[in-house]
Amino acid sequence: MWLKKGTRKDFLEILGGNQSKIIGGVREVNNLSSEIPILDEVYFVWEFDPQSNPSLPVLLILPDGQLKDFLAWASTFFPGYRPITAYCRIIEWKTANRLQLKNRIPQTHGLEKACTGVIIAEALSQYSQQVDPQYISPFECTSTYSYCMTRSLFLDYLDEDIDYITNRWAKARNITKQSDRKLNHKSMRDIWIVIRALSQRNKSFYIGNSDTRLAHLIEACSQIIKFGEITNYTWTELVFGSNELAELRNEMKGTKEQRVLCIERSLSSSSYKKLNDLSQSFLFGYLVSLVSIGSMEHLNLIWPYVDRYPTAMLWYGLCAGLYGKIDMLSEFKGLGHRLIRDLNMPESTIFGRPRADIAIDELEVLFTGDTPSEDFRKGSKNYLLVEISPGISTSLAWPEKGKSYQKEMSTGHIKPETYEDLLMELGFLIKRMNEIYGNLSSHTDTRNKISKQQRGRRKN
Amino acid sequence: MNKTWWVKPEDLDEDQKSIIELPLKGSHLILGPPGSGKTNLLLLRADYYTKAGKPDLYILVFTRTLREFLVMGGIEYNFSKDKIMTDINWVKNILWQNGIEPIEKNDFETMRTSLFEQLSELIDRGNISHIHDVILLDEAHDYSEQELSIFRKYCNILFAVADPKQRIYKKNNSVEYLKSIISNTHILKYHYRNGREICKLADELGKKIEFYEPMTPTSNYNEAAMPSSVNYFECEDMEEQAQKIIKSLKTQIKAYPNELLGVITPRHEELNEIWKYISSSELGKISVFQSSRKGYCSFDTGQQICVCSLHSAKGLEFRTLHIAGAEYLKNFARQKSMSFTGITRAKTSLSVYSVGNLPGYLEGAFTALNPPSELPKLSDLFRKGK
Repeated sequence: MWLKKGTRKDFLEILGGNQSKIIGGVREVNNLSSEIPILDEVYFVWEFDPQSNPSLPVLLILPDGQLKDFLAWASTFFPGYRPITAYCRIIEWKTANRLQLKNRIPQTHGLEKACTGVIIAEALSQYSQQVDPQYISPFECTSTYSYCMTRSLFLDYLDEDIDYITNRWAKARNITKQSDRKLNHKSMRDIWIVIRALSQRNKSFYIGNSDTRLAHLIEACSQIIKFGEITNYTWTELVFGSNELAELRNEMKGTKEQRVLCIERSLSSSSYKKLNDLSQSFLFGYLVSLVSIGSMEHLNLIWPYVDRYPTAMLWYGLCAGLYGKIDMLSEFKGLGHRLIRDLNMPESTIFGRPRADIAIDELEVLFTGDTPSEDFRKGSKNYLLVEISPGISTSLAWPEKGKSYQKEMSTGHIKPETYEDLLMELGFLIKRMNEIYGNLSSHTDTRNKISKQQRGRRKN
Repeated sequence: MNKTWWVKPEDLDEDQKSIIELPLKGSHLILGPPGSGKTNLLLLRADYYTKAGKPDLYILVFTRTLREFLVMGGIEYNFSKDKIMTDINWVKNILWQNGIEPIEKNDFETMRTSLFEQLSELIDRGNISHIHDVILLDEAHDYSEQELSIFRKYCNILFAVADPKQRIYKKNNSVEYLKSIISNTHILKYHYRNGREICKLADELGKKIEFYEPMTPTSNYNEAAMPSSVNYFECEDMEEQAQKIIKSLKTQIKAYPNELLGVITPRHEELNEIWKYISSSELGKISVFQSSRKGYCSFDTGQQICVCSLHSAKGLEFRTLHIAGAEYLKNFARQKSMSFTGITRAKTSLSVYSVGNLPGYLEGAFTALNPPSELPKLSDLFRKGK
């Protein structure tokens, strides 16, 4: 890589097209760990030699504490490059140090099916009534918390602090005033602690988990991966020694009809009701995963109980994805394959050019003040792709204000790149309409009670 | 019902792949047991012909229910659903195209015979206006020699799939005739549809069928993933049968989402009665009634339960199947083949219901599956009435 130690003035020259003025100080370096900017320094990093191939740097490293100020400065004085983080990543040294600046090739840790299972389950769980997973779009999935966590896991960013990505994801949604999700990210934290532990099977974290409830779940999931089932000892721990629940696993070896009846019976048993929330949700999800091993085709069994056990669907997705060999990724018109393609994209490693519309730090800066500055270039008219950490992005619903497609549609000329957006928007609207229709239908009786005079009554 | 049809290469076995790879030219006859993928191969072959520039093709089937079933699978492919027709409608179309009014009769068999005779006369007069590129024939074992010879004359390529064991309509052995008019015969050895328990029942039944080859040894069904079951219920009346079926279906729609479940009867009288109970239950809105007397419906993706006659179920397959009014099987000619065809429509779960005794061969097959754990003692024989 190539490094230039400079100042904001140098950045002015670069953006002004006068790269030749600053080229003098550029040198090739092998690593950046010993390069610590101080005072007003800005370190510019290129992947390739800018002397032979003039271009914007891919990375700017700032001294600690200067990020917000720098982004405010850049967005004020370079509106043509707003948001600047769409073109190059800008981070403070402490972040660079935390990320151990290096190119990271995504690794699935053998958990691609489990992670996509959780992502799809989370996307589904946002609906208030049962929806056909066939119609869940990859876009809906990229907006989930689990999607960002999976990407972090694949890029090995989850090793240290699980809350860093969690907080950044939540912040992106807060800043842009996204609607509240049915399933709060805090309630999904346990699942991600388990998944992280599963990715670190050979590391100390796995052995040393101090939360016994989670330790049992980690052990159980690990055994599913290893043996295809949970051992008797761990199962007994999970059901807190209940003989009634201990028997469940044997009953789940019958025909599928018997398995379904067994689950329904167990949910109403007193032993099950005595379990804590976490154990109830996990057991429910796990038992449903036993109806059809390695598949998510039995979401229908969870939907009626989704309010009572909100995370059971996610545990189901996780457990279903822990079994080997079976091609769960092909379900729902290959949604899993599509997600894995995106989650494994190598282009967003730290030294590549960003793919998102904006980084969360710049988004925060633009939204500071009385009048948020929303007028910046985006890749889509309907959503915003926000990078919450280098290489990790989340999509947010973000329809352009004050414009409609009416004019564009009426001309009869729809640009090909707009089709996908329109379809996506339309899909959302249809789903929302169906949802509202379903809710209203359930109140038909109430509606019928309204007198005919009241219906369609004109105001005098 | 997206799990009924496979369209992915990894779903095909070697025998099936060799049929997919057959060159475009030449007529072919595919023979295979129930569940060996014959109908799927037929649809894939039609798709291949269409994409390879031979769109002038027709897929002909025996029953309207099967036609609707194939239309559901045809959604995955490139040919129009209008290319899937019952043979009767195909004949009528040709007659109309040639200015001939098709003869309409109430009796299905008589009407078939008359229509094919009309078409035969047309051919004899040398008035064939158009020869199709391809005719693909499903359930070809149920056509007569005369009908098959007409199909052969009306196309350049005849692609037929058949299984002589499932012949329930015609008495002559049309498969031998098919071999004489189609030079290339291919055999599918393995089958995938029927669970182990269903194969065992079919094999018990097959012992009474001429030239029967057992299904159990050639089954590639994944029993571990989907344990199969076979049950028989002797009931007091049709209402009891209906209530048992409805109760079971309520669990099965949860256990087998996106899969087609079936309720069939040998006779129309019981079919109508069963439908009365099902349509008025909460299952009514997800059920479809296929009847030659009351009309046919397309298989909607939201309709998981199909209620039809045993004859209409030919060529169909159901993840779970309920055969009600089974005591009336004995009213039919070729009843053993009919029973065999009926039970092999079930993939995983089969339930048979009757009022009074089943036909002896079927009762014997059930008993052989679940023999009494010990022989009765002499004292047991004289205990009755004491």
